[in-house]
Amino acid sequence: MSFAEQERALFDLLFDQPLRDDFCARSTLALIDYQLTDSEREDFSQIRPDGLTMDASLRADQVLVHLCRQFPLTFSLLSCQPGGMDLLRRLVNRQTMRQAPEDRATQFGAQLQEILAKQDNQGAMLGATLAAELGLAWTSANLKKQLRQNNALTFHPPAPSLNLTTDSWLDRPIILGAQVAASLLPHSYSANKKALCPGDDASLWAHLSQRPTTEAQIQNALGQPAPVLFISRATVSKNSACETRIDHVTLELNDGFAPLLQQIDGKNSVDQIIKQLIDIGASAKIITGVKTGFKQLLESSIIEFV
Amino acid sequence: MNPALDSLPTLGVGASLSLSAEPDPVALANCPGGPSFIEYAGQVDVESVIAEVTRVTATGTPVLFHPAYINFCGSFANSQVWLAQTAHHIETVKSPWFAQDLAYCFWQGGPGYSTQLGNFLPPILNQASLEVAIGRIGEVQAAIPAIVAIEPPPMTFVVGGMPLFSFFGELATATDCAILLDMGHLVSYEMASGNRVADALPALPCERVIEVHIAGGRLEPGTTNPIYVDAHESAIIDQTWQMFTTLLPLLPNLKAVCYECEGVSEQTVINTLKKIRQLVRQHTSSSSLIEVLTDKPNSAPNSVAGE
Repeated sequence: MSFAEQERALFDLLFDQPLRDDFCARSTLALIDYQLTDSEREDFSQIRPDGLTMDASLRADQVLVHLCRQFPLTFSLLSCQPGGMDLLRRLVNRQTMRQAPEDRATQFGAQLQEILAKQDNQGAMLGATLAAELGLAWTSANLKKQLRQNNALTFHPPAPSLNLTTDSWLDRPIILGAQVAASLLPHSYSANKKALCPGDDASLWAHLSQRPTTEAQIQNALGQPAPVLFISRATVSKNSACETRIDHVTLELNDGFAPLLQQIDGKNSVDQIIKQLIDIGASAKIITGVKTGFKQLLESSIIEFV
Repeated sequence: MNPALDSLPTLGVGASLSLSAEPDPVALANCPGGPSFIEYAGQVDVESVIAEVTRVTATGTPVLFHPAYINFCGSFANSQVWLAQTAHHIETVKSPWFAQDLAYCFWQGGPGYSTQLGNFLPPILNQASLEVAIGRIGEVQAAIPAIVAIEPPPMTFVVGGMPLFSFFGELATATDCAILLDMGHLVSYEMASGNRVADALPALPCERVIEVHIAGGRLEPGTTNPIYVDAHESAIIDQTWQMFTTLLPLLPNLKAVCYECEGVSEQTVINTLKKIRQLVRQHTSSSSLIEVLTDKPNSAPNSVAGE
C-alpha cells in the first residue's frame, strides 16, 4: 500500500498487454494483485481505456524505433512474415522495459530468439542474423557497463603495434580483443543489410511499418548461399560522464575461418596455426587466404598481439 | 514569489526546433518575421550541440534549453552527474531558464532520455505523487542554479483525481518554481480526463507562468470521444488555438511564447508565427511581452494569413 505500488501498476499497464487488456475489460478489478488501498486503486478508475491503449501503442512504436537500430536486418527479415511486426510490438513488454536501458536490447533480442527457435519455418538467415545482431547488442551493453564501473577505462581498439607490411608479425602470439562476437551466417550481413534496410537506421522502423519487406526482395537479396564468418568488436565512439556511444568494427571472412578462432588462445602465433594447417595438407591458396584473414583481423584490432 | 522570476528577460515569440534538421533554425532566425528565440531539446552534453547553438546565437537570437531526461516526479532519483552536466549546459548556452515536462523520463534502471520509455510518462495526479514531486524538484533546484519551469506533459489518459492546475499550482508554490503551459498538452488533459482546466483555474498561480507552448496535434478516434495526440509536424487544431486565446489574458508575467514546429515547412512556420504574434498582441496581459513585440523588427504588426 504505497505510492511505489501505484507506480508499479502504472508502468505495468503501459508495458504488460495482458494486464492492460484485463484492465480495459474489468477496470480496477484487474489490479487485484497490486497492494493498493481503495483510494489508491480508485485513482486508476480515472483512466480512459482507449487512451491507455493509444498511449501504449504509440509508446511501443517509439521504443521500437530505437530497438530497430540494434536489430535492423532482423526487423527487416521479420517484417516479411505474417504477424512479424506484431510479434516485435508484443516484445516491448514488462520483461524488456524493466531492464536497465543498456540491457533492454539484449533482453528483447533474447526473448525474440526464444520465440523464433520454436518456429519451424523461421529461415536460416533470420535465426543467424538475430544471433549476430544479438552479439552486437550484447558486446555493446557489456562495454557500456564496464565503462560505467570504471570510467577511466579506454576500449578504443589499439592500433597494431607492428608493421604488417612485412612478415615479422607472423611469429607473435595473438589473442582475441575484448568485446568480440562472431557468428556464422549463410549470406553476407553487410550486403543484405544494404539491400533490405533502406534509408538510415533511425527511420527504418517507420519505413518497415509502412512498407514491410517482401519475400521477393529477400529472395532477390539473398541469392545463392555464400556463408561468411561475421566478426565484430565493440568500440567506444563517445564516452562522457553521462553518455557512452558504442560502435562496432565488423569484418566478414570465409566461413572456413571459423575453426581457426579456437586456435587464438594467447599462446599460438599465426605461424603456428598455419603450420598446423600445412601439416593436415592445406593448399597454398588456403594458406594465403588464412594469412590474409589474420592480417585483416589484426588491422581491425579484432585480434591483438599478446 | 521568487524575485528572480521578475528579473528574467522577455524573449517574445520564438520557435522550438531541432538544431540539426529542417527547418534550419539559423535560416528561420535570419528570416523577416522569424522567431525571436530558439528553443531546442538536446543531449545532456553541451559539447554535442555547442557548434549548432553557436550558429544560432551568432545571429543575435537567444536560445532556451529544454531537456528531456529529468525526472521532476516519481520515486526514481536523478543522477547528480547528469544534473551537474545540465547546469553546465544551461550556463554555457546562456539559457535564461529551463523548462521540461513534469513526467517520468526514466524508471528504476538509471538515468536516460524520455525516448527510452517511448515518451514522457505522465505523473499520477494525487497527493502522494505531489509530495514526491516536491522532493524531486528540490533535488533539481539544488543542483541547477537556473530557474526551473515545470510543464504539464501530454497525456491520453489520466491517473488520479486531483485537477491538473491544482497539482501544478501546489507544486509550483511549494517549490517556488515557474510554470510552462503547453496549450496542446492542456487540450490533451481535457480530452483524457473529461475535465476542463479552467474549472481549477483559481488553483493555478498564474503569475508563475513565464512560457507558453503552442504546437500541432491530431485527433485520433476514441471509443466515444477523440484522443489528442501531440504531433508537432501537424497543424495546430482549433481547440488549441482556443485554449491559447483563453489563457493569454490570464498570464501577466508571460515572457516567451514558443511555437513547436519540428518538421514543419519554413513558410508555414513564418505564417504561424505571424498569427501567434497577432493573437498575443490582441489577448496578452503581459506588458513586457507587448513591449518586446513592439520593439523587435521581427514583431512588426502584420495581417494574419488565413484569419
